[in-house]
Amino acid sequence: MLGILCTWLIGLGAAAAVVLVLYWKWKNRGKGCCGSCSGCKQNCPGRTGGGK
Amino acid sequence: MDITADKLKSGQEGTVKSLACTGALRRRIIDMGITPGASMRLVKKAPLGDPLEFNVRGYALSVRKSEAKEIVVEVK
Amino acid sequence: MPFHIALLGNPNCGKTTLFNAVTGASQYVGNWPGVTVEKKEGKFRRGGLDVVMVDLPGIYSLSPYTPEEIVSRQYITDEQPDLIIDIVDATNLERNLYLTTQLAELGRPMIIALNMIDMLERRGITIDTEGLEKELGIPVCPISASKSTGVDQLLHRAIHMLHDVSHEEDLSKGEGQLKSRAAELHRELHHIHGDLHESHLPYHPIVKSFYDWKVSAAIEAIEDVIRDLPGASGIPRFAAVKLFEGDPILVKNLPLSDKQRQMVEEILNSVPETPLVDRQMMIADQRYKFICGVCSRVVHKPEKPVVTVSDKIDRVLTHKILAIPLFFVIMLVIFVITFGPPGSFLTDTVSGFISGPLTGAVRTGLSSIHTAQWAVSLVCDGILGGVGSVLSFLPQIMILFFFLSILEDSGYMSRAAFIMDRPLRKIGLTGRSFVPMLMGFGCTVPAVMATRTLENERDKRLTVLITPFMSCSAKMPVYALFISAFFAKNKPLVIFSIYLLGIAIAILAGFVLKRTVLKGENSTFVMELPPYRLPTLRGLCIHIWERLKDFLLKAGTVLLVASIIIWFLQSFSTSLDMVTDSSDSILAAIGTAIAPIFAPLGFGFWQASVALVSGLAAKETVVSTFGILFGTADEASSVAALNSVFTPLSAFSFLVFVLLYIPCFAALSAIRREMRSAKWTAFAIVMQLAVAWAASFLVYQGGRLLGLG
Repeated sequence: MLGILCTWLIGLGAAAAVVLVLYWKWKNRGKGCCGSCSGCKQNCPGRTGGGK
Repeated sequence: MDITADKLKSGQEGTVKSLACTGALRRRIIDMGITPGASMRLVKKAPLGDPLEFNVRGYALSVRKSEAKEIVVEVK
Repeated sequence: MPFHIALLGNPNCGKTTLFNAVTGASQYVGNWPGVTVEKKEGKFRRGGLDVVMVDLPGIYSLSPYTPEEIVSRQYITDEQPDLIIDIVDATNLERNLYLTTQLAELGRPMIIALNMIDMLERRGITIDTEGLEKELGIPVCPISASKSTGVDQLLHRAIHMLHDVSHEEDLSKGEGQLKSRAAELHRELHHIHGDLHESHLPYHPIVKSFYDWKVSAAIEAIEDVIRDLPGASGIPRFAAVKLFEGDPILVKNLPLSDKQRQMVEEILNSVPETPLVDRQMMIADQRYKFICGVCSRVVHKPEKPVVTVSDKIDRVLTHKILAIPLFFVIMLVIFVITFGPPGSFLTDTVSGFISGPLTGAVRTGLSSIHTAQWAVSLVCDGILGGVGSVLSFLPQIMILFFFLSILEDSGYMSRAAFIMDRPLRKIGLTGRSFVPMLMGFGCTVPAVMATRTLENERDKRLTVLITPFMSCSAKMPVYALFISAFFAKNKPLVIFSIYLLGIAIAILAGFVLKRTVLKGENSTFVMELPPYRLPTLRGLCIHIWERLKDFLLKAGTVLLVASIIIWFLQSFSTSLDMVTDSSDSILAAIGTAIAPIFAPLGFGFWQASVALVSGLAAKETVVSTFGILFGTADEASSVAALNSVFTPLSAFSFLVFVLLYIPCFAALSAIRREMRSAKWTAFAIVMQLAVAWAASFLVYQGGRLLGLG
C-alpha cells in the first residue's frame, strides 16, 4: 500500500517537475540573466574594470 | 617647458595645457578631469611600460601611452 | 502613484551598495529597451509614501557617447523622476562633483549622498558638509553605504523632499484636500522621528555660478530662445548648456526654426573658440574651476598626502618587475587549492556519501515497502545518480567562487586589466577584455555580460567569442570524473593542461579573428583604478551564499529535469517498454544517429554523443548523463564502465571537445544578447563547434600516430 503510494508520488512528482521547470525556463527565456544563475546580478556592468 | 604626458617621469607632475585629440577620446579625457589647469602626476608605468598610471585630481587614472601623447602638460 | 527616485553617480562610488541596502529583496533587474544596459528598480515604503528607486548605470558625465550616459539622460528628461540622489565619492570629490554640476542643471530636485566618509579619516581629509551644502545650494547627506551609517538620515531627508515636492504640486494645482492630507503626513513624519521641524533648506542649486559671466550670459540667452521647444521643456538650462557645447544628440533632436538657429549661432559667436579651447572645453574647464573653488573652501587635506595601505599594496601588486609573476603565482595558488588536495578531498567525500550510503539507503527503503521497480530506478539511478554526481562538486565550485569574489571585491581585477593591457593588445584584445575572460573561469554568463564595459563593438565581439574557451566551473566535474577514471596518477598535470589549452586556443582564436573577420580600430583605455578595498567577510559570505543558492537552484531545476528526462529516455525502448540493456533504449537510438560525427575523434559511441548533447542544458549534465548511463554504485564500477568505452587517449580527446564546444543554453542566450545579432551568434556557434572538432581530431589522430592510443 505504502509502496503504491510512493510509486505514484515519485511518478507524478517527476512529471510535474519536468513540466514546471520547462515552463519556467520558457517563461524566462527573454530575460537577460539565465534565471538560474544570479552570479550575473552581482557582476553586471559597472562593477568590473572601473566602468567604461 | 611643454611636453606630452607620456614623457613624464615617475613621480613627476605637470599642469595640463591642452589636448590634441578629438571626438570620443577627447570627451572621455575631459570628463575624467583632465582639463587645462589640472595637475597630473605620473605614478607608475605598467610592467611593460604601457599603460601609465596617473594621479589626476586626487584619484588614479590609467591611460595608454598613445593616448597620453595627446595631452600637453607644462613642467617646471 | 508611487514616487520615483533616481540614483546616479560615478562608477565605483558605492551606488549599488546603497541601492541594495535600501531596496533589498524587492529588486528587479531588467533591461532598458533597445540597449544592453541593465535597468534596476526596487521598492520601499517610508513615511507613508511608496517609493520606486531606479538605479541608473554609473556614469562620469551626461555626454552623449555611451549607451549608459544616453540611457541616464533620457530617463531623467523623459520620466522626470521626483528626486535625484547623487552619490558622490567623498574620497574623489572633484571629479564626482563634475557630474553633480550637470545633474544640477537638469533642474530636478536633488540630494547629494556623500559616500565613503569613513575612508576620509584614513587619508586625513575632512569635509565641511554644511559648508558644501551652502556652496552648492543642494542638500548634502554624509553616509557610508558599506557601513550603513547615515543611510537612515538620507532617506529621511529624501522623503522630506518628496513631501515638499508634492506640497508644491498640490499648491500649484490648488487641490485643498490633498494639501491637507500631505500636511498631515508631514506632521506625522516629524512626530515619528520625534524631532522638531528642522530647517528646510530651500532647494536652490547655484547653477548660475558655474560659469564666468560671458559664458553664463550666452547660456541664458540660448535658454530664452529654446525654452518652450519640445526636447528642452523641463530642462531648459541643461539643453542650453549642451547646445552651447555642440552636443550632437541635442543638436539633432531640438526642432529649431531657421530664425532660432540663426539666433543661437549669433549667441555662440559672441563667445569665440580658440585653437586650444573649444566651447566643449570651455564648459568643462569652467565647471572644474567652480568645483575647485568650492573644494578649496570646504575640503581640508593634510600637508603631505597620506600614503594609504591601498597605495602600499598597489606598489607591490603593480610593481614593474613583480606584477606579472605575482599575478601568475596568485592564479597558481587558487588553482592548487581548488583542484589539488583540499578541493578533491572534499569532492570525493561528498560523492562517496551520495553514491554509497545515501543511494543504498534510499534503494533499500523504497524497495522494502514494495515501491515499483521503475520508480526506485527513477529515484536512485536517475535523480540521485544524475544530480548527486554533480552535487559532489559543490565544494570545489564554492572554493573557486570564493577566490574570484576576493579578486573582484578587492579591486584587483582592474589592476589585472591594467597590467595585462599591453600583452593583450598584441593579440588583438584590450586590458578591458581581461576581466570578462577571467570571470569566464567561474561562469561564462556573467563573463559575457561583463563585456558591456567594452564600448568598442569590435573588441566586445571578439571578447565574447573568446570567453567561452575559458573553461567554466561547470566543466570541472566533467574533467574530474574522467581524470579519476583515466589519469589518476597525473591529476593536477592533466587538469592544468586542459585549462592551459583553453587559454592557448582563446589567444590563438583572438589572433586569427582579429586579422580576418574582426579588423578594426582599437578602443580607448582611459580607465579609473579604484582603490583597493578589503573584501568584507559579510560581502564574501553574500557572494558565496548567492552562488550556492544558484547552484542548488540549478541542481534542483535544470539538472533534476535533465536527469529525469535522460533516465526516461535510457530506460525505455522506442516501444515504451522498460529495457534491461540501455543500448536498446530511445536514448541510444538518438545517440547512435549522431555518433558517427564523433568517430574520428575517438568517441563515436552513442553514450558520448548523448552526454555532449545533454551538455547544452548545463555542462554538469554531461556528468549526470554518464552517472545515469553507467551507474554510480561505487567509484570502481563507474571507472570500469567508462574504461569499457573510452581509452585514455579518447578520454582526453573527449575532454578537449568538452572544453571547447558550445556552452550551455544560458551562456548562449547571454551571447546572443550581447552580440545583438543572430548572425554573430550563429558565427560563434559554428566557430566553437568547428574549433572543438578540429582540436579533438588533432589530439586523437595525432595521438594515435604517435602510438599513444
